[in-house]
Amino acid sequence: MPKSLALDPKKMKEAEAALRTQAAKLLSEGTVTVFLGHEEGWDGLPVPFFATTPGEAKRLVWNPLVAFNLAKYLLDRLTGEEKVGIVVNGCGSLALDRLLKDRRFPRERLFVVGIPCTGLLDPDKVLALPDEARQTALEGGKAEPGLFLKRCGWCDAPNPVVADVVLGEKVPEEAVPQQYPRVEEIEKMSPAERAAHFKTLYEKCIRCFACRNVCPACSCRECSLDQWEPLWLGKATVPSEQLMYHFIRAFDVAGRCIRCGECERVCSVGVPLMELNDKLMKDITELFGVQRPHVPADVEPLGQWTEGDADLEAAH
Amino acid sequence: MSESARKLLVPEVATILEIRDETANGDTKTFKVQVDNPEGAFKHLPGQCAMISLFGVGEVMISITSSPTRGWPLELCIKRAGRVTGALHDAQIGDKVGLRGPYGNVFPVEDWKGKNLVFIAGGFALAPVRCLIDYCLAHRDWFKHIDIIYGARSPGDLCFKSDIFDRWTKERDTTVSLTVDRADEAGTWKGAVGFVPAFVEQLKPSPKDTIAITCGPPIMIKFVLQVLPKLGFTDEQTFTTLELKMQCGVGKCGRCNIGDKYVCVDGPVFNLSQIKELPSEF
Amino acid sequence: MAQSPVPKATRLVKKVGLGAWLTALAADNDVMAPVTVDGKPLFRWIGAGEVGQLDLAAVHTVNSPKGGVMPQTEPMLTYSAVQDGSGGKTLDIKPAAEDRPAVLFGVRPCDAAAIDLVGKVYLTGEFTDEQYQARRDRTTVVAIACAAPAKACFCTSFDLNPGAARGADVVLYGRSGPGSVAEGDAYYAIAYTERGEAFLGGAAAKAAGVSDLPAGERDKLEKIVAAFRGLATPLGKKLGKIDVADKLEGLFESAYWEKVSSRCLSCATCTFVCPTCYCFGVADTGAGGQGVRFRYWDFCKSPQFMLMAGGHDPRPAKKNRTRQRFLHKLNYHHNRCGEYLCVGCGRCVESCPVGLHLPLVVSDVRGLQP
Repeated sequence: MPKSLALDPKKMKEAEAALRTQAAKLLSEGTVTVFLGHEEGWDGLPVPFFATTPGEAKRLVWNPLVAFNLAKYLLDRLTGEEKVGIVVNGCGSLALDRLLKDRRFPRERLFVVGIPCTGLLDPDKVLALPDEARQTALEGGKAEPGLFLKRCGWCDAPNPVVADVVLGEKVPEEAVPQQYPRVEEIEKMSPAERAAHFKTLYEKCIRCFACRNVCPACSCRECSLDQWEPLWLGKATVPSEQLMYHFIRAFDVAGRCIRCGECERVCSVGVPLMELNDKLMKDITELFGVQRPHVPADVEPLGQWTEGDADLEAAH
Repeated sequence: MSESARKLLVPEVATILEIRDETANGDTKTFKVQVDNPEGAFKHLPGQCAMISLFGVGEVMISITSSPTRGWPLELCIKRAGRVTGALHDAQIGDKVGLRGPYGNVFPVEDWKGKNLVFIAGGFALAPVRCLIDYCLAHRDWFKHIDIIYGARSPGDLCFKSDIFDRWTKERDTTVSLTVDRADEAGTWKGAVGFVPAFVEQLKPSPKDTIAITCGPPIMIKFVLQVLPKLGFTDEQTFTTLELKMQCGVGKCGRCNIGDKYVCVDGPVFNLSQIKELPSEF
Repeated sequence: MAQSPVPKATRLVKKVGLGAWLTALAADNDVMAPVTVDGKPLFRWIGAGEVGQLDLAAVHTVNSPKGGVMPQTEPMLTYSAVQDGSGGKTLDIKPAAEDRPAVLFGVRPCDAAAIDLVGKVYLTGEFTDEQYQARRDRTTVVAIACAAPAKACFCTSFDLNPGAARGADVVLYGRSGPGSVAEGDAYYAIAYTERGEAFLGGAAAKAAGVSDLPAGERDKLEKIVAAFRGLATPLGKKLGKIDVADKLEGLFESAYWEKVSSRCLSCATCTFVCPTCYCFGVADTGAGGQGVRFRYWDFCKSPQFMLMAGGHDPRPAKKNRTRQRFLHKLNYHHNRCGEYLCVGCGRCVESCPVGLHLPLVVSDVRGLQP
């Protein structure tokens, strides 16, 4: 758990005020025509919100529950020339950087407001708390490690990697070695145990595609797994098709996963999807020596071919 | 399997007896199909469609283009557009297909007795109208004057040429008016040149005691439905058919649900006042 | 719309006998029941060995039991190329074989009502879906009244309540009444249909010690049932009765849909957890001349839903598709069938990752200028 994880609701409230001012300014000056952020939704749970007027900018929130990767919504705004504003913290900026490095949205059309992050809480867990405990966490800043978003546990990028303006002081960065304990447990299983493990887990999948749709590494205009011609992925929700969907998707994002875990978080039936992604990240570290596989690079290890690549050697 | 034992979405097995090119470029073909089991032969009325399928590929809803007065085998006119229609285009005579129907509502032909009829069709959308035209011609005494106004992109794209030139032009008190968007280079086309909506406006069919039925590509329909009111046709006098993606064909799967209608059971035949009540999602 | 259902039989079911009952049922029936898997309560088909994981305390399973009567993937027919009599080839088409009888156990009243609501789509109108009918006819729906409705429950906003019997063959009412989730040692089991009556009198029930109502408890039972039926639901209180069908008539072109749809992820979560969503697609799978044609749950939020061959798409944007979902549930279905296509189970409230759910839309629509 990074030492920098110290929830600071007071600082976040200050950042929220600065964010509202900044977004209102961008909108009133016409620098952007829309600002992607969050607002308070039903029941205190923040939801993605796209402000189009300075008045609407006043509804933007910044608090310990703003877990969404807003960058994905840029794909709804590909046509047109107008500039889009967006607020990102550390992991949010990784998601944005992923889309930028995948050349899915032009940087010139963005105005990025960055806010350094000291941790976010899991909205579902927090809202399930009794009122007093919830208040202690959200306003008092006292939260057990288990209340944080999973990704905060391995976060080594609390400061935005992309920003036109940064609100608040930088958070001291620390090296957090990426570890994959669950993957190591599964690797110890026999093939038969592993087969049973994956079959049992993926039987629960209802093929809703929430995981794919929320993933910043999944940004194809037409997903091959939606195609009818050819029908790569059959429509039947049987174990063979379920495993194929998830394994193919894990390989498609391999090397580009930012380890945000949003796929797991939005899964309504609780499939631990990150097991697959973590396994591939561990492999990438071991095979190619990439220590921080979750941070977008200009060219990813699987996006290049180099003589002397470890996996080529192994094949010989 | 008899009608009563057959499950709702389980088709009859049918054989392709004949495949006829309708257009010069081969993208539209008329298939003659016959059910293998005589008990599986259903009766249809103009406006209705059938689900034809290639097992292993899929099903597609196609309007029945042969008049019920001609009985079986049925004719279905299919344009190559996607996966299933493409596979059907690659099928051979003698191949087996699935067939189930008839689905959809019917043109209210009985209400039109004593009236003039104006048929306006474009391209391969003459297919559903052809069934209706032949049905009306088989009951010729029911109607007064019949106008058939038909156009296509080019002379090679005119469908059902033998019906047009060998039969319809020879019917009594029946006028056939043809147009093409552009004539052929060889200059053999001696008829009118121009888009169907403008052609209709030129021909000025009278709305008095007349029913207008129109089918065509969405853009043609849009303009025809602007021209007809200009000529004095009311919404109740104007009929069309809607084409939407359909999966079950029996009003259950929700695919063709627009507004509170399921186009596969409440349509595909609608008059213009019914169309105006629908959300514009077609 | 809600009529007071007439009980056909009443029994007492001791909780200690539930395990034995389900195990006995699992011998001849496919049993679907709520079990908690890795912290998530799910409705699933359970084997006799999983009876111990039964979790009747979970008011809200993540998914609904609609898969019991409307499987997510359902074969409709098999086809195979065979020789015909005269040396040629033909096709042998067989309707899909029928599954075993089924018992959906521990269904909530909202979910049972949804089964009836959706059943009307499949069973009425111009065509009757025989496959659905046959499956429904061999399924017994055993509901359990909700002792403590969850935060997101709003069944009372429709003609329903936590003790309603619509769509259920049997309803179990906790013997010590509502208010305590782990209450009491037994349930009053009331059968409202002949199927339910036969179920309560069957061999499995007898083996589980399902007994007659003890003498003198008739009055208590009636009070308890009334108490369950009179329970309020938290979100239902907030929303009141749903009344937006008429107002939505004039809102098709409203700018509201663009705004509310912008955060939609276009996934199928809401549709697949919803007990009243019933849209399906049809597909074939096979090779070498034989295979299966099946139907599968589809979702109107999908960009492919209305996409036609040739590229024409009547609902090209998220705005169109989001609008369709809510207009279908709150206006179109109401116009066509006289009731809203929602039972207030609250799953969309709990499952949508971005909070784009029906109560939100109802509440927004109420505030919109026409």
